Amino acid sequence: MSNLMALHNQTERSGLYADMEQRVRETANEVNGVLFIYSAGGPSYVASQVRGILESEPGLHFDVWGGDEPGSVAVLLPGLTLNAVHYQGLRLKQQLQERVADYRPQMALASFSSRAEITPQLLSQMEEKAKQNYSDDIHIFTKADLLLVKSRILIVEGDPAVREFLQIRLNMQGYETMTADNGTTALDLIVDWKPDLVLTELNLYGIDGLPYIHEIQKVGGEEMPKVVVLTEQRVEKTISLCFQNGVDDYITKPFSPVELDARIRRCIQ
Amino acid sequence: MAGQHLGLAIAFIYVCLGLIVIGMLLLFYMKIRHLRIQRKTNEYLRKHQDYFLFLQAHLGDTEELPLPPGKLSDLERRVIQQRVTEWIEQFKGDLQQNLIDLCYNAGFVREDLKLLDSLFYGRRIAAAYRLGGMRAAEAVPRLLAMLKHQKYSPLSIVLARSIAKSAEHEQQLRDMLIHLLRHGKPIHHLAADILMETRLDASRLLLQLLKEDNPDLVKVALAAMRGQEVPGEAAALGRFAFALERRETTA
Amino acid sequence: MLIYGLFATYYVMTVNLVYFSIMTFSFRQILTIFRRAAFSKYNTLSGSELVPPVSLLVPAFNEEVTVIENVKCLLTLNYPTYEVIVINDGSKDNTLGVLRDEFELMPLPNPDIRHTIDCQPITAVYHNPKYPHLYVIDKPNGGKADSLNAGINLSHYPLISSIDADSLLEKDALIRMARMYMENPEETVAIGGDVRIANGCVIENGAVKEVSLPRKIWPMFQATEYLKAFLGGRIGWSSINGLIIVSGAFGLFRKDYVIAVGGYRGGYPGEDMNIIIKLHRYMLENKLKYRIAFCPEAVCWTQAPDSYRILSNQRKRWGRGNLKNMIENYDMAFNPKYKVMGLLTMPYNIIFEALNPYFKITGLLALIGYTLLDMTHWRVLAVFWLINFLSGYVLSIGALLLEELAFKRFNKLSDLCKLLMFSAFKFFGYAQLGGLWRIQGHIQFLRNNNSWGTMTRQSWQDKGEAAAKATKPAKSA
Repeated sequence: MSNLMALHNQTERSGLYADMEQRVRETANEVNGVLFIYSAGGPSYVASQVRGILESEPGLHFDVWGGDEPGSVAVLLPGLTLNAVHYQGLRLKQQLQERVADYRPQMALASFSSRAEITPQLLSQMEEKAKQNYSDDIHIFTKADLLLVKSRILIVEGDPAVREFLQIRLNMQGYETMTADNGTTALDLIVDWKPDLVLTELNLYGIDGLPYIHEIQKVGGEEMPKVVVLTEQRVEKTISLCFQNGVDDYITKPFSPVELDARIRRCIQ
Repeated sequence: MAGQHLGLAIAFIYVCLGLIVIGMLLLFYMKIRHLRIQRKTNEYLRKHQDYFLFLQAHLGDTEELPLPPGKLSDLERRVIQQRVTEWIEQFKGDLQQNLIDLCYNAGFVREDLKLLDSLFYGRRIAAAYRLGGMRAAEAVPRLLAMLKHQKYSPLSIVLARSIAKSAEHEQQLRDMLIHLLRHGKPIHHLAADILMETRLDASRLLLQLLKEDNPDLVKVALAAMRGQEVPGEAAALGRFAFALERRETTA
Repeated sequence: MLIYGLFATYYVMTVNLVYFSIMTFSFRQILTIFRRAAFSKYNTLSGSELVPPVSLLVPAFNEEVTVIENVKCLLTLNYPTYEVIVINDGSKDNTLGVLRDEFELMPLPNPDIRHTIDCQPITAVYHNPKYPHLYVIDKPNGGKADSLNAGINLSHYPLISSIDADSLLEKDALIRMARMYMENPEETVAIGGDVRIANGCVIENGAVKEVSLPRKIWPMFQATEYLKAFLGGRIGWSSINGLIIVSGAFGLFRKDYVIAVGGYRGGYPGEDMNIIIKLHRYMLENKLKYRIAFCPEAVCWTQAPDSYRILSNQRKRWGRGNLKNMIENYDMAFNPKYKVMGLLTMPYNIIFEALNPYFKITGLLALIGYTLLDMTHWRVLAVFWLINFLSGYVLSIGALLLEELAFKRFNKLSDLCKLLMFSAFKFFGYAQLGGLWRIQGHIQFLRNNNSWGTMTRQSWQDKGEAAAKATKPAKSA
């Protein structure tokens, strides 16, 4: 893109954000939901499609702006909390994919609890996140996205459902996460990625149980990560041996995610 | 004479041929059907991936969890039910309760309760298993009746686990143990493991069972106390009983 | 000649009818087995104090190539409390050295090893507290049975499991067996696991990642054999408590009863069938209520021989061992004191398994001779051959149905077709070879020839890489 066009787009966009901020001030709600849809080279009629889909939802207040680039849309949903915004995002994605062939939208959404939070800078950061979201998933934009320094957590878990859940939850809480599904990869990542905390199962492929805990101690080196074990193993001997070998916390499954959050927070501090 | 024997042998051959043809047809039918269901299941899992992420992100919220937008086929509902049940198995507390409520509101529990009346045993057992996974308290009386009439088999264990997971009253757990142990098999350890899947308060339950007249129930309670976080003397009692047992069985 | 030929024909029909009835027993059980596996989660049991601890016994002779991968796989089983005891049976290669290096094992100064069963005196026991559940016994060569007995002497737990040094157990295999045990703890004396052929599967990190049929023909034939024998046969026999064998590659036993029958019989192949016959005999003679069960959802993967030489040696060995077991225990046959074992299993094994090739070959020869006398009698020969082929094929299809009903491990339609084809081709040479090898094994027994033959080991990784390279590129997730 030539410099002139870049400048042109920038001013256009800042116009967009200003419009949005203006609208936020006009509506009476303190809580507001914002949604950005981006699709490289997408069809230009997406904005009107979005309007149509949102109109069909009874009792929903919304404002839609077409972005400068074709296929990019910004939506304001006054009064909606995060789960409601997310649900609308789901609806939009599903119905747009039904109507437009081969449509792979990149989405980012958020809900802000106070009007003051919504500034043009924040909105531009959010749209940037949408543009950089190359996964098929909808990105939930939270305060965690603004953090420059995040604690690192390595999630080691063989069960893909639990692994996915832990990654989503910890990401939303502002941690930077990586996952491993077996003991050997986990050990490699501890050496290469240097996490602050390792949240691990004991039942893994490759290497597991007490030998695995030993190895973590060995490769951890000076920057030993905290080790929190989250496992189905409830044999007392195993638990006490784990603590003897430097494990910081031991949580059995089934577990309460709220409790897990608290324990992780306590370990990281 | 030889012709008679040969005739028998030839009849045998025809029977074999018939069985082979039927067998092959059955094989291909079953295989193709299975592959189709697998393919559709994977399709639905991909289709609802965003919805599953949505659920996992908002499990802790106070608002009710909705089903995905749009119309859902039967298999789609099953796929979603299965995924939600996987989470219910892993979690405790409020988040688990939100998922259980989702299953009720989505009608999954109602559908499986209806299947308990099915003519096919396979469907009844499958429904019983799913109801246990969803912690459906309303199903427990029906499940207890099924367990009562079940001949002792691995499926008694399946029913017992479903009851243990869903029971809301201690009396139901007690009944489950009685039905399970009435066949006279010394499965107290297995019964203890099943019992401990309950969401009810374990320590109070075990102390109550210790006071029972039925020796089977007492043995189950003692077995369950091993490795549980139960107040001091009770835990020690459990360990003592286990040590006694272990001495009896080691070579 | 004709009469003998007809007799042989009736023989074949009877054999297959008996097998067919056993298979119907399997079918009766198969839905329960499917439901038991489908409607169980092992997440509470796999971490519970309540599950009985197990000693895994792994005899190893010249296994330096695969023993590390095997031990690593065994150390990562999903089971609450268990130990792995590897017994180095006087290997001539560096099996012991490789183990000592990998796990940094040091000799224990005072191993508390009992002398409950006679075996070759052990040299040393190696251990490393970093791997608290791994022990390696070093002893002079004495054979597989002798090694197992040594392992029993060291074992600290009430249950033992005999495992081959090249078995790759599935993570959940042991807990599934233990669950079956816990459903009937006092009566269950032994449980056999399912052995499947790993040739052609993609193996990663000590686990079978993708199930596939073998590429070479020898393992392919064996794959069909194993399905028929395990699913068609063992499920049925175990349901009437007439199971004659629990695979040495993967079986669970009550240690106290194994000791009561004197441990494993050494010095000759077939100790896996022998221990089971001994257990039946002991329990029946002492009028104890018992069962010897088969757990098809507990799976162990093994490399099947893929060359004629190794395969024929293995089958001759089996022939030798079986004959010795039959001869040593013929008193049980037709003896009502031994219930199903005596009235059904032993007679079946003697008449319809051990003597099988003899009847078939003599019958075939008789009918060939009969036909040569008068070519218009070719029909009789054809009938004989067709009966052999078709009734055998019915059983193969039955086994495939059982697999489809309960396990569905083969996920491609092409796999099903391949299995159907090879089950048919079996009768055009492979089945006959099997009979020949069995006869050769009997001859070896009669000549007191007791060589073991060698199996050249290939590392699991090499096989895994070869299989991975051969499969089509990335089925994207």
